[in-house]
Amino acid sequence: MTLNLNSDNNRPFLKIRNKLIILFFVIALLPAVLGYMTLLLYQNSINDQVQASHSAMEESFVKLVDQYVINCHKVIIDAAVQPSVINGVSSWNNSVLQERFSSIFKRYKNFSFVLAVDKNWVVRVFYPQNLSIIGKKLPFSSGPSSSVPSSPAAGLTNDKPGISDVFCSDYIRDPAVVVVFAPVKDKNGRIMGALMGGVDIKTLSSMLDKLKPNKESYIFLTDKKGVVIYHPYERMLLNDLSENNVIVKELIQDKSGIRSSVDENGEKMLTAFKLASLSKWGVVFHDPAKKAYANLVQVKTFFIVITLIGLIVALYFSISFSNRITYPIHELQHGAEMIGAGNLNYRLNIKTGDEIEKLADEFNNMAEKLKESYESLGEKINIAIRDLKDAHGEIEEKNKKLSEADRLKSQFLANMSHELRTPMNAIIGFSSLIEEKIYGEINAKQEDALKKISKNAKALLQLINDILDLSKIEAGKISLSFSEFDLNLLIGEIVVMLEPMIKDKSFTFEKIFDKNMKQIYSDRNRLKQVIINLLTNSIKFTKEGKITITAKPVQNTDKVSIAVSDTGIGIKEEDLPSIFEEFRQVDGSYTRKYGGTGLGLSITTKLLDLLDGEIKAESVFNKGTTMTVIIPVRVKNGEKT
Amino acid sequence: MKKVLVVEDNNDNREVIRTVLEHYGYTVVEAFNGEEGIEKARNEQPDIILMDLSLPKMDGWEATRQIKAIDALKNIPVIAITAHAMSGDEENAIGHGCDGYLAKPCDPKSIVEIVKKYLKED
Repeated sequence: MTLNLNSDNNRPFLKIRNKLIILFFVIALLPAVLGYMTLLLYQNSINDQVQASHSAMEESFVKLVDQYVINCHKVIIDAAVQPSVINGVSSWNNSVLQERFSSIFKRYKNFSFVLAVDKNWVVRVFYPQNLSIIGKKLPFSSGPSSSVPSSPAAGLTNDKPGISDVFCSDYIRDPAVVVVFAPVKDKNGRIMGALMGGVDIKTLSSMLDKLKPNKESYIFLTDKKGVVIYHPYERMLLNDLSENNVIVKELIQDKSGIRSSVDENGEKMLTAFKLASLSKWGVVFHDPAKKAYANLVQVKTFFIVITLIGLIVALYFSISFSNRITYPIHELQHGAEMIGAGNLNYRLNIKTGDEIEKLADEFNNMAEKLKESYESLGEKINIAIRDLKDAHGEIEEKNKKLSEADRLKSQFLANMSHELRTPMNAIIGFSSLIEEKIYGEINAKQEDALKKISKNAKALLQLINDILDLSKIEAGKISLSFSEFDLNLLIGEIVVMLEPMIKDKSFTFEKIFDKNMKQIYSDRNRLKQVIINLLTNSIKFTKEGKITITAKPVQNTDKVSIAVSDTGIGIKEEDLPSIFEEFRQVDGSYTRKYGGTGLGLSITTKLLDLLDGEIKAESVFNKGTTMTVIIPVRVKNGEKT
Repeated sequence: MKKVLVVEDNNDNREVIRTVLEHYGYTVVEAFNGEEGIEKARNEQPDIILMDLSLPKMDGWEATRQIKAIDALKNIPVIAITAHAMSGDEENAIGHGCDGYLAKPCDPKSIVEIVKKYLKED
């Protein structure tokens, strides 16, 4: 069962339920959108917070680095002015200096080594003891590659303390070395040599690591030229990043900042960088973005989850609510369909306690009333059908009787015809035999009597024929046979046939034919009978003058007229209407005077009915009569019998 | 002399037919019903048969049908002379095998004419 709500025109059809769902969903979506906008604002402030916290961390790293390096530097400077050290250097007493270094630096863990050079940059003492380097001049090695800085001299002069650039040496274990430097002078201020302390970067890095916010974040350090001092990835050590790394490039120009970047492993990072103000070391702090913004991601995820849950719940409630609202409407629609389909017993059961329940009650009342009127209507129809059936039975019964009566009537007609003709045959036959003198000579009186017998016998035969004709027509037993024929030829034929009747009369006879007359379609024999009837009437009632038969098409119609005019005795005006009635000659005495049965015109009229034709009579008493027959050129239902 | 078999149950009508035919020189053989008609036709071998249709015992239609089914007789012309003169009766008679048809009442001369016609004596 389908409901064709949008059949009248193709207006879009949207179920109330779906409308409600969409409405509720849109309403639920609104706070989600608002929440998202809030989230965007919050994101900015989180960004600011994260950056601020990272700047602060960077600041503390830089501070730590500066303190560490400067502290080392201070220790070396302090050591360089100690009298025992000055004495040791002045005499280059190795064992004394070794012992001094041990006492000074044993406590102090921030150096990986300490060495002393003479004024020619030749190593005289190395702590902890390492004899292989003693006697070597700076630079300590040419290094494996020229790209790797191998000299601590850069930036160093032998009269001022300083901090070297990073370098490496074959004689020192540390892969990357930075030394702090202080000259050793005699009491007159002449330079005797210098102390150099290798900054223990491992200790520094482990101190920095402790300050890291998480395991995945890391810090690397460069010297003031951008060469890597420390990096968690050892392969990065001693790499000159001053050209290739945009952050380091900025860093060595003493710029600081915080920005997003991608590290060597392709990971997104939040990167803070700054050049330490005293040591001039670059400190770069990488924190993976996902860690840095972990908070934000968490908030975002939380928001999305909450929003999705909210939307799903909203969708669920909107669907169930819409269903609850539209369910009774669906019920109503279904009910209307059921009633429409003829199920008048269908009732709605809607208990929503609102207007729809009232509507459903009204609907039920309506259905009840509809059912009642249908039932009473059905009862009435049944009665009517029963009556109709009874009537039909009666009609059939009567029809049977009628057709039986009809059959009997036909049978009677046939029998009548047969039984009348048989004795007539004997009468006419014997009269004729005597008249023909087959039985011998007869006298004139006998002959005259025989002629009268013959004449009356023929009149009787005519009467019998006419009565039978009339009966047959009335019983519908006359069979018609339609064909196409020439009317002029037919009239000619009839005139020839009637010639014996007019040869001893004293009137003239005229045929008038129309050249335009076409073939007509009718029953030739019946029309012939009609024309013969009219002509024999005229011949019978006309003594002298003229009889005219005229055949022509009737103008502007599909009909033809055949008129027979005579100058006979005519008919009185008051008698005209009754001349077509049966057994009616205008005056009973005419029958005696002129013969005939009085059935001719009646038969003619009835035959013309069968041919869809008509007849009219015009007459002036004692002057003559004109009978006009009008028939269609083509009989309409030409096949009727 | 041509021989005419007249099958007719009505004495008066049979007499008229016999009289006029004998007057015009025919030999007339008479039968009173259909069965007798067939028997006379067999025995007498007439040149033509005039057959009334309403006959006792066996009617003229059946008799004509049977005559026309007998090889020795089927070439003899059978003329129906009958008071069954309503429309369709002539066709019915021809349908049963009659060669000609003449409606009663008829002028005796017309009987002679139709006999002459079928014996081709014109």
